[in-house]
Amino acid sequence: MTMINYAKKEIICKVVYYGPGLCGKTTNLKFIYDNIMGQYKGKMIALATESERTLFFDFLPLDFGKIKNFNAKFQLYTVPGQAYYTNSRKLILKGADGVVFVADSQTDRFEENKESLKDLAVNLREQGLDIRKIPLVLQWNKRDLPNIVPIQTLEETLNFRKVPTFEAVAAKGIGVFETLKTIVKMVFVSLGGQG
Amino acid sequence: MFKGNKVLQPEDLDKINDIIEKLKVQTKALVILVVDDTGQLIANTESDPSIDPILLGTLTAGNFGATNELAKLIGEADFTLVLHEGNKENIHMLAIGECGILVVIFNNTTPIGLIRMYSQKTTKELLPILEKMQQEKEKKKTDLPSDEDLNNLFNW
Amino acid sequence: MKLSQIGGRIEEINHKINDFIAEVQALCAIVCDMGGEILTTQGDTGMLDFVNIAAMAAGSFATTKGIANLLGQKEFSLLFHQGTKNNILISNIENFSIIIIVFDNNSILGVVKQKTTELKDQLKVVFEDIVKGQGIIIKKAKIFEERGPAAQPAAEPAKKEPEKKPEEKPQEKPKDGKKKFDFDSLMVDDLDDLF
Repeated sequence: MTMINYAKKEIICKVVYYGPGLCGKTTNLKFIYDNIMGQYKGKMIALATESERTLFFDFLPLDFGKIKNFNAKFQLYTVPGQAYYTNSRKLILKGADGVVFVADSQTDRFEENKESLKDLAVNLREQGLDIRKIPLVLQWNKRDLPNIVPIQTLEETLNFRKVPTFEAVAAKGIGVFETLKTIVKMVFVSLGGQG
Repeated sequence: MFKGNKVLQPEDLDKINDIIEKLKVQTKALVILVVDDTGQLIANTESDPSIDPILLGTLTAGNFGATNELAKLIGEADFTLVLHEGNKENIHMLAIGECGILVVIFNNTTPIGLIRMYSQKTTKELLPILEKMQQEKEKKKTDLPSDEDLNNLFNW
Repeated sequence: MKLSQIGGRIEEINHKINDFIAEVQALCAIVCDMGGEILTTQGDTGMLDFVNIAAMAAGSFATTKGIANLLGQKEFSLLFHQGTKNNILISNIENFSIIIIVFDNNSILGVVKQKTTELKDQLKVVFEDIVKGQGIIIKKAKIFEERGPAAQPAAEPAKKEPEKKPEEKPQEKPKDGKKKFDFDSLMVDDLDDLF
């Protein structure tokens, strides 16, 4: 839920990175954190297990500075990917203004991508949000690995809305900022009431 | 037209700030936050600059959300009260209707009963202001996809 | 601590938990790893959804630890949540595991707290013994990672005055004379400068 704070002249939006376990959601946020200019970022929180798997969420606040007198702030969240964290995912989606779905391109993860996308649709609905309408970007991650699903197959299977998609190698930062920039723009456009 | 936005007007933020400053005096609390149901910080009292109120808001909202889920899972409608006791500071959290959370951080010099009493009073004062912020929300619950819609979308 | 590491010692652990449950008349107890994966459940397992309870307890614990960190406090060692009928108590056994006790008003809170502390000590000994015997190194769970530094003041307002896009719809008139955020004047192209 976008908050428009006239008192502080701020507009605050929430974007959630969603996808199956180990697909690279946290990697996206870490790359953004490590590479975005200092004035745009706040402190990042990663709630992770000892094996560095997200157990509740990661959080990265971004401040894009003044755009027409308003401070444009984006709060990026990730969800934990494993199936049994479904309640956590539901909680994090509350009030989301946009979603980045990170798909794992590896052949043996294909089914999990499909499951996760469906899980996203159901959990969004529980929060009163519609997967057919919410600003959405798909990211095909891990394109540098062997045994990956062709882009065309990913597009045909997962991109049911023909939303923007990006090939990515999040660990190396490829496609990370393109994805972020696009979801930020889409959220802004939707706030204007045309999305 | 906006879809499901929360709008905080300057006069409302002033009211919220007045209310929590009053609570701070009454309870000698270290810091007080008002966080919305999505983890967004709405207002906070001045505090130690080393404490980042945005992070604190996100973490407390996450904590509160997890606890409420736990409540449902063990058959409780909700825990409106969450209390964490540390060795120096304590945290008291109370739901503001369904709109947000009032977070009070206090040390052991203030009795918990006092915090509880004043927090309850304060949430009642805050509720109408937060509800006014949320009014836009009601419009969005229409036309959500049915199970059939979703099955058609993901027709694998 | 993982289930595979506990191996044959699980009987011993279960036995201690059962004794505890009988003594304090708790409904049930769950022991899970720091990420919320269940190691064992004991007591009246009835209809409770342990998988989700453990996952949410881990989330609750991780965020609490994060809050403690922010406040410069070591940790909140015991979390107690009171409901109208059922209560829940969550605590950690060092970095080995999380223990969750569910009890109703037939139990006395003070007794539950006291006996939980004793049970934790007993289980700690078992866990330490397992670690010693197997040469396992338990990494301190990276539950809270705060990546500083904090955001600096927001960037200077964009200097260039963006042109109004001709295709944009005129803004709807605000109702009730309330101020509305001027989205039409917000140029998404401004964002290009940020990346």
